[in-house]
Amino acid sequence: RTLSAVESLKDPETEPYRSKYSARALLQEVKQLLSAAEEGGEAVLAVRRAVLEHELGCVATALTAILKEEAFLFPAGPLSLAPLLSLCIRLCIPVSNNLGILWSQRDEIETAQTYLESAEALYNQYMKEDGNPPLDPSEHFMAEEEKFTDQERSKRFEKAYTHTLYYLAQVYQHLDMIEKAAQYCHTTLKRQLEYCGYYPVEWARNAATLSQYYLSKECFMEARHCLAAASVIFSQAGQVPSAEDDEAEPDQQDLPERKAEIARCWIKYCLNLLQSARKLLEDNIGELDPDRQLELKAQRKKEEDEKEKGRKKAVLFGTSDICDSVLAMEEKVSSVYPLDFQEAREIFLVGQNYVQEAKEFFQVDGYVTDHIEIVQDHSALFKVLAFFEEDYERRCKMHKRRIDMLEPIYADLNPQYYLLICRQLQCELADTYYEMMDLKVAIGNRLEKLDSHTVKKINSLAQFAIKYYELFLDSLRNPDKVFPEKLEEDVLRPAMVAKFHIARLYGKLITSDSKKQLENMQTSLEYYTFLVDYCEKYPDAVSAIETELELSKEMVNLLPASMERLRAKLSSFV
Amino acid sequence: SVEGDAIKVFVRVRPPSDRPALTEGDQGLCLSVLSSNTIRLHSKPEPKIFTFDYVANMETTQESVFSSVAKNIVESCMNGYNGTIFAYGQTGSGKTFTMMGPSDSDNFTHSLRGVIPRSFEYLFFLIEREKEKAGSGKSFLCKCSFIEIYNEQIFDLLDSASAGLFLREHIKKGVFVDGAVEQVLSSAAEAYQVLTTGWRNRRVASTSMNRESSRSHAVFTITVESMEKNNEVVNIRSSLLNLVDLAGSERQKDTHTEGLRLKEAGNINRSLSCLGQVITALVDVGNGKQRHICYRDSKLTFLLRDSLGGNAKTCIIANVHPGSKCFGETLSTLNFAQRAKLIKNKAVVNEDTQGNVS
Repeated sequence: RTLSAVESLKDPETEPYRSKYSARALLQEVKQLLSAAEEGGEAVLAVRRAVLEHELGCVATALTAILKEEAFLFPAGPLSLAPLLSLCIRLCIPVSNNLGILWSQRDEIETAQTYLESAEALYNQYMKEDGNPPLDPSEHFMAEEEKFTDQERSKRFEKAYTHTLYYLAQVYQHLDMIEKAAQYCHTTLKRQLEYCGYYPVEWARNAATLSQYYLSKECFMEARHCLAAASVIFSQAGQVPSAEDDEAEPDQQDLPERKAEIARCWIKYCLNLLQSARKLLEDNIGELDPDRQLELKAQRKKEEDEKEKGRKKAVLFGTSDICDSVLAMEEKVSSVYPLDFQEAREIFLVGQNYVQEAKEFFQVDGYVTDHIEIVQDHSALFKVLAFFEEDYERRCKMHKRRIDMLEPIYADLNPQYYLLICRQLQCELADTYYEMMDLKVAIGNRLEKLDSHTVKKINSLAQFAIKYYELFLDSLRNPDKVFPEKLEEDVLRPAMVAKFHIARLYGKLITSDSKKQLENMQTSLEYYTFLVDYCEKYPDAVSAIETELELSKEMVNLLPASMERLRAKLSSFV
Repeated sequence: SVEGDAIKVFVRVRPPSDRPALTEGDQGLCLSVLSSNTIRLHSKPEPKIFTFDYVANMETTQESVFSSVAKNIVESCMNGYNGTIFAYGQTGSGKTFTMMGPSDSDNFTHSLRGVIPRSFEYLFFLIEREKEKAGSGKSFLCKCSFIEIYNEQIFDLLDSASAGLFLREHIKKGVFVDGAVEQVLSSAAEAYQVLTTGWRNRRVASTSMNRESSRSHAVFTITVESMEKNNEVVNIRSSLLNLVDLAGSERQKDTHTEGLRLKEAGNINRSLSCLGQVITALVDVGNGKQRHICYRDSKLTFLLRDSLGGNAKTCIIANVHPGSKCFGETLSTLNFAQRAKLIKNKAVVNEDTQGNVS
């Protein structure tokens, strides 16, 4: 029967299926011999027959996949032998795996699910009741001296079961049972580690990607664990692989790239942790809420003792020495929400280090998109750190750092190829200038009297913000420079917000020249009116910008009156 | 116009085969063309109607396929837009015939020549006309490259000695194939010469290196650069025209046509090869949270990123074989084409004013 494996390697190019057919003929022959001998009804023989049926099934599946004919049905026979658990467990699992694949090929994923889940149950039952490494199916046809050691048996057995979990992960993903799918991915990764069945780089990459799933669920402890494990395992890459691995890792030459990618996953970790903390701490105008801060700090103290318990529930990676390294890695960054500037800064610094690491590989020359994404993350890290900073001047300086990193990139970027990124940068730069201007106004309000330096500063920040908003709006124009009648869904909100912010900015410009002020008010009114008119014409847009719309309506009502007053004042001077 | 930004989708139905198999009558066919933009697929229990921008039936000539599909794109290419024409479909559905023409002729005056040679002629015809109109004030530079993507590796078809090129990005030039040979073109005949040389290399490579051309994508790219001098201001416009012969759709792993199937783990291979993909799929539903996914797009989508939902005018020619045996593949091709219509493109004129030379 080993013939089938041997034969398939020797397949002539022209007739790739010939060996399969001959293997099938051979297997059928043996099966007939066995069936004849089976009359006695001995259990071992029944199992042997089942092994052959399974082999036949495998051949048939191979043919099915190649020929796209679905004439063969995989024999489910072996599964009926379930009572003889210790004898046939080793067969049931691959049979169920194969049935799972087969049914999924027929788009009946639920049927596949039942087979795979039953394999999972059988495995658990067997491990509870027996637990000894079971005989490998191929051993039924081997001479006594060829048989495997217990270690080898166990390895093969566990590997087959790992495949079951891997298929279940896919089944759950196809069935949109995302949480379960993630759990099975996690377990598959864990088992790969335990049974040394992994390529370090690929494993690390998978674990790092899984961490991003946990981020989307705000499970920071799990995310950190995946990332720490990814970093630890990655550092094994290129070192001496375990003895039996004769295959080289497929993509050794990509090591720097993979390393940078893991760094990028870490950046996202730091960013998400900070952003989530911000969400917890902010009040309704987006400022740090000190009451909330005290409350959360008290709460955290209470929870600290319970934390250890929660920790044990999570599935941890690795055996003792790997585990130690992972824990050491984890200690370098917190997984709880930072509650004040000091804590936020520590996470920020870790993120910033990974930014440098990622940039080493993703340089702007050759990796424009990746490089810019990293810079954008860096800017986002500063932005969220600024939230925790109480001193307005220092906060303003943080935003200036963002401007300094984004502006030069934007200036070089060719919108012909990077239109989307250009728009993102335009909006981000505009928003940052806008925020800086707001901070300067706040600082100015504390002064007795606005000095001319502050006024100049405020006006120039406002002008820059306007400039970038206008650049963004211009990018929406069609080749004939006409602004679109109806905005596409993906740019609707940013475009409306840009219009709204420009309107506000014109309102904030400080000037002693009343005529100029009147002009600014007029411009402001035009932008507010645009918003109101647009929403009247396309009511779908209202939901996207409710608050902005409300304020705009108010301004459209108020502005003409104040302009009238100003005009009256003006004419009285003349 | 808003409509002009969406990807245009054309479907072409090839004749069943050279032998007159029509003896079976309509029974042998799994679809019928109802009008110049609708097609009916004889599926069970209910027939299905598909609507596209244009449907070419078996009698449609190469000339009319060209004028309804490619003419417009070549014209906008002259006006500074990027343009891309894809041919999609299963092996044997007529992609190469549509794009190149009959395989046995290098002669590009052949009456059955395909979209690519006709695009060359038209492009150079337009260039000549522009030049005549503008006199010495305007000049053109055309360059081309021809690459093949096989098994996620990039080969240069204009330099058969090279292997394994890399995709890189440049902050001004966008995505490009690092080290790909660029040949300057001065006429349509020359372009055709380059194309056929490359095509021959593709065939040679496929036999000598065990590459199957039905499993590789071929991308022929023409860069058109025009320079116009106007009162000391130099206006440079450049645009790309990509002509893409995709791998047979039946074997494309990376399109999401595989439905619910599970990916198998190799017996020897420890890597449980698609665990990463499963995890990626989990992260995809990440509700607007910041995340990084360690798996890049395929080489082809990366290279043609601008053409798919980017900054270009793009059209897809979906080729189908009407035989009832091909029902499954035809259905999936039509479904793919239908989905492609949903991709919106934003076309922007590529104008870069380099002021003031004095």
